[in-house]
Amino acid sequence: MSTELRSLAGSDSADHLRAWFGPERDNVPRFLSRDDCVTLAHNVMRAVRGDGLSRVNIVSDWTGEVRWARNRAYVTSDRRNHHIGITRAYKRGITVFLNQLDEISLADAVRRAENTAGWGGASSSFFAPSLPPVNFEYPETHIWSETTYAQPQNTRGAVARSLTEAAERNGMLSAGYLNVAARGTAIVDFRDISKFLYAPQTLAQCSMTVRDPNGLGSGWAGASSYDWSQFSPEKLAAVALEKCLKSRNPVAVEPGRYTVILEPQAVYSFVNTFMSHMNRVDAELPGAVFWSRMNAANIQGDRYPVSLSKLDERIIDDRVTIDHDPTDPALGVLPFSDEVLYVEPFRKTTWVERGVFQTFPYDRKYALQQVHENRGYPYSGSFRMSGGPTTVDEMIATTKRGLLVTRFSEMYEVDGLSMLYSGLTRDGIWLIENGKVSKSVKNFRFTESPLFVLNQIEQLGVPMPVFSPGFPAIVPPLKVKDFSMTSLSDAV
Amino acid sequence: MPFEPVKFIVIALLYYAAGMVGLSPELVAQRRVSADTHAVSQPRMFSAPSGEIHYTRLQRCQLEVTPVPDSLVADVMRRCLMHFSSDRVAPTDLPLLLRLALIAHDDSLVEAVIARQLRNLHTTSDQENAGIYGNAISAAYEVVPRRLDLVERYLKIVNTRWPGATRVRFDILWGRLVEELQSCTDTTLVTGDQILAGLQLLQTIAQSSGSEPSNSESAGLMEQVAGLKNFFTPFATFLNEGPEAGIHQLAALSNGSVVGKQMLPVTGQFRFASDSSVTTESVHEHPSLIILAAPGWGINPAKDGETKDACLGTEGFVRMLQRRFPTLSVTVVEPVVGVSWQTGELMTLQEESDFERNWLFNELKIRGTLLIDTVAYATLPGHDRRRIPGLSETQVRLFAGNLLNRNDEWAYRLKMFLVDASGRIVLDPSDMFSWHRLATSVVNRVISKTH
Repeated sequence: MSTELRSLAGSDSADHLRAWFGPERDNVPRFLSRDDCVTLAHNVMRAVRGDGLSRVNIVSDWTGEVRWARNRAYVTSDRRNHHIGITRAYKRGITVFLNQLDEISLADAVRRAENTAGWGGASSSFFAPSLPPVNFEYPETHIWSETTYAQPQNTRGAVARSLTEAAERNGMLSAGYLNVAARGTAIVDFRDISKFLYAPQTLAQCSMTVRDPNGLGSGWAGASSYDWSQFSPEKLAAVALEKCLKSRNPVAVEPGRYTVILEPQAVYSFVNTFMSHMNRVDAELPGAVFWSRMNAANIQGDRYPVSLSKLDERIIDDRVTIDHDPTDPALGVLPFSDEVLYVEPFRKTTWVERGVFQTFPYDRKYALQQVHENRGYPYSGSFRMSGGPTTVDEMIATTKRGLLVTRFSEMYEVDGLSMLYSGLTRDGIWLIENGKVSKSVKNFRFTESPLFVLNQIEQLGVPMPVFSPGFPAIVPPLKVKDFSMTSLSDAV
Repeated sequence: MPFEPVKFIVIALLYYAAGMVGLSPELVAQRRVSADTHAVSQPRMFSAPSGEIHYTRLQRCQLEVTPVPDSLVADVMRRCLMHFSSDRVAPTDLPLLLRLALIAHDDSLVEAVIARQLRNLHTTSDQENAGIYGNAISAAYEVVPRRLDLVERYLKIVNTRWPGATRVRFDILWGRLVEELQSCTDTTLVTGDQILAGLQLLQTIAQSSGSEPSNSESAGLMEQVAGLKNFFTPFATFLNEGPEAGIHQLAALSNGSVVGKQMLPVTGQFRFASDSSVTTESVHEHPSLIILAAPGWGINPAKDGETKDACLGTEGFVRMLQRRFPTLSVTVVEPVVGVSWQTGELMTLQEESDFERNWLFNELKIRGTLLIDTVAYATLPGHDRRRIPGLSETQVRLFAGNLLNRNDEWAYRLKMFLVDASGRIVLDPSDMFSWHRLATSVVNRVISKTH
């Protein structure tokens, strides 16, 4: 097996691994290539002894970033790191993590994993901690951009400088973060090395907050993608500056229930928490979570009752569909879930279709045990929400009295059963009166649930990408009635 | 990479000569024996591909030797303890040092640690002083092999020097009784008289008017003895007077007990026998063990001898029972669930049945009958698609006869019935099998009744 794995690697890979530690490191690729990962896995495999399962997860990444505050850059960095997880499973499964590439360190990590995996009594209910790799079809995802990878450091600096200059010219203070990254993710299971998985990807993000020096206003804008060319930092800076200027000198208005127009970033906060609550195992406990029904049902007559969930029930507005296609160019994710135990490809999934709940996320183990299939529905963290034709200006024009919200922050769960959350509005909130934005208002604390929000939709806008680094999402702006703003906040 | 014995021995001698953690000839001999007889993986020389840095490493500290001999463990522990002294170790580490000294079979160090612990106490309290020996006795039970000689010696010391330490003496004697009944290494049978003698001793201690504990605590000890008597006296009667006298008392031990009831037939869609001598007739004419098992029941079988087998989980204990009582027939009923518990693969009924047959007979090496229990699955409609199992014939029958709890999930939790030759359930040993020696004695009494 060692020879076969070795044959997958190129002849230069061993040189690269040594060069990471030498004076030549600027000349080597910024993250481990497929060949490098194969060589590294080969070194791990040579150290493995005895029975049991073996797997290596490698994430090698490079990050180039600029961070600034008060119009001055204070961090610029070029970071490289490796996260190597070596899993050995005998009586139980153990994973040891390290970031060293040399053979001695790898062998030492294997030894630690083996020693720990062999300790303690074996469990008679031992279920293989790692299911064997199968012949899955892995989707072709759009996660690599040469533009992002090739962006030089001085370009990042120049961009950051131009963003701060715009704020400075207007007497405002800007703070922000600009980042480009590339990483190689590899998973190899030594039980079948022909199914060696490797995927390179790039990430780019830019977010910026502009504030009035007297603390009278704040604006924010951000974007993320795998491709740097898909967003314009200058436009983001302009949006953030405009919001800041328009949000100065806010006035206090009464808390209460308002019709709110939520920009996509605000909508994303709610929909993301809604998606993160989906858990199939909890849903099968009667009354435990929102997704479970209160009573169990007798399915097989004399057997103990079976708990049912809200699958196939309409739970939100019937204009809403939430799905994910990993081959969607705008929603690129790794083609496989990089879980240590149950690696499987992401697949085109519709979570909610026209308001009707379609499926939970679940892994292979659950699929084998409960559904008798060898493949689950892993959740990638990425999704697309359907929208409508209405623009934000149209929403404003049709609102007699309401609020326009940029985004939320500091959200925390108040009640899990109803998914009730509380948080603050942030970086721009305006009062709408008689179809026009009339004045900037002070921030509010809200207490709302995504279930209520997604059931009280009046209008939907055109979906657009939001700031969600690593987990791309496309959501529309929404106009929602009876949104509960419970108190005023002095936060800017 | 081929094993190069000459190079290996040369390097081993170099390390030994350099005074590093050495390789004694005994160790080398044991490794070789293990390698020859158990096909343990050989130590490998690591070498990088040609053209790169070439290095080798020894793995002697991490070598697999299966099983690890106690002498090797003691030897390694002695070398570790050379770096420690009972006078210089922090007081809070003394209990740990005592345990390590027991593993190393270094009785003089054990005595030195105990002496220092007693010096550190600065109290005349019987309870606290005796407690030092109580902790040492607990450690003596945990070391392998158990140091029963130390247990008896320290018990005499506690009884002589601190007779007022009633609580500690009670705990020591109760611990000794538990060890005797739970022992998986002591192959002698326990008698009813031994159990009653142990209980009587506990009662004597509890009734004694020592300075410690107080009268109220003495009442608590008496209550504890009463509870122990309630539980163990039926077993003592069973062992002394036979199943007829003892079975009703065992049945009264718990509400809903199945002891005393007639075992109902267990059936399956497929039946496998481990060898041709196992027939359906043999199941009914001899005392038998009926095991309702989950798929994948049991861990890898023991590779060593008979004494340790009993300590290796329930399946090891069953193997030991089969060796000791050849007429005890074993019937295992297992459901199939359509998934291999070991590889996570989907399996057909035939594939999974064959897999379980091989696992039980060839891997776990249990002799007897395997019944494969099947049910009809209902699939939930819509997007749920979960498979919900129905009831098998065996489950319906056992539920109706109140021999199985209706709330038991599918893919049985491990459940056992010890059945005598007349088909009457003598013991519901699912929980009792942690009391190895007691359960073995009960099985022997059931078998000896008929032979």
